[in-house]
Amino acid sequence: MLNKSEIYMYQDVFDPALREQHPSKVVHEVRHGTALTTYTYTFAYGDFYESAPHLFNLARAVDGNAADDAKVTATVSVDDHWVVRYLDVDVDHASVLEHRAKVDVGTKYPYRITLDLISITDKPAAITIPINVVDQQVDDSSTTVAP
Amino acid sequence: MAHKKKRKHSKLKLVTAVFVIGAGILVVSLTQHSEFVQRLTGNREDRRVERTAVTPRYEFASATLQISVGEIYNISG
Repeated sequence: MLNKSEIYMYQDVFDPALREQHPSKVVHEVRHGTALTTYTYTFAYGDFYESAPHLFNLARAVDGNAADDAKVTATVSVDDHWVVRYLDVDVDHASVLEHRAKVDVGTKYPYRITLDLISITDKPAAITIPINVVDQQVDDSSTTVAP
Repeated sequence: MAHKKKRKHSKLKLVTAVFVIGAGILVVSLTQHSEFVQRLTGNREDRRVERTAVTPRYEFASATLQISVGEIYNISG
């Protein structure tokens, strides 16, 4: 079940360190029917934490799985409400294979984490109850009350 | 024996003070992004971000979120 902390806002990802970085690409696009601005950053794995500590913490599963010179590509899309609609942290899988997977055979090592917010709404979904169910309940109560 | 009148160098002191203050302002303005100066002036970036954060958390009723994790392992060695 979703909770509040799993829908990220701009400030959950873009900390002062990441704001100092220059994105390698900025694209305006439409994804799942929503207009987004997508920022792509590229880091060396050894500089990942210093470059984007918030993002690093969100993708902590990849911690220690690659060599310092491995390439990390981070993609973040935000909408007009500053909701993070798409988040992708992709570590060079060849480096993960060389650095960890070949050393520790049979253990899985994460190299990519993707979070895709397909839809979000601030209006609760309407709940409809079939009429025959309500009728049935009324009938039951009338039968139990009657002598 | 007459005392030699001591020169006060008041103009020199004034110029020196102005120069020191100007140099201080210049140094602070050039290094305002450094953590030391931000601590000195109390205008730290993280606090500034907190003060200027205008993105309230989105109040949502329902959402569909797809999370995927790519993992790699070497089964053969």
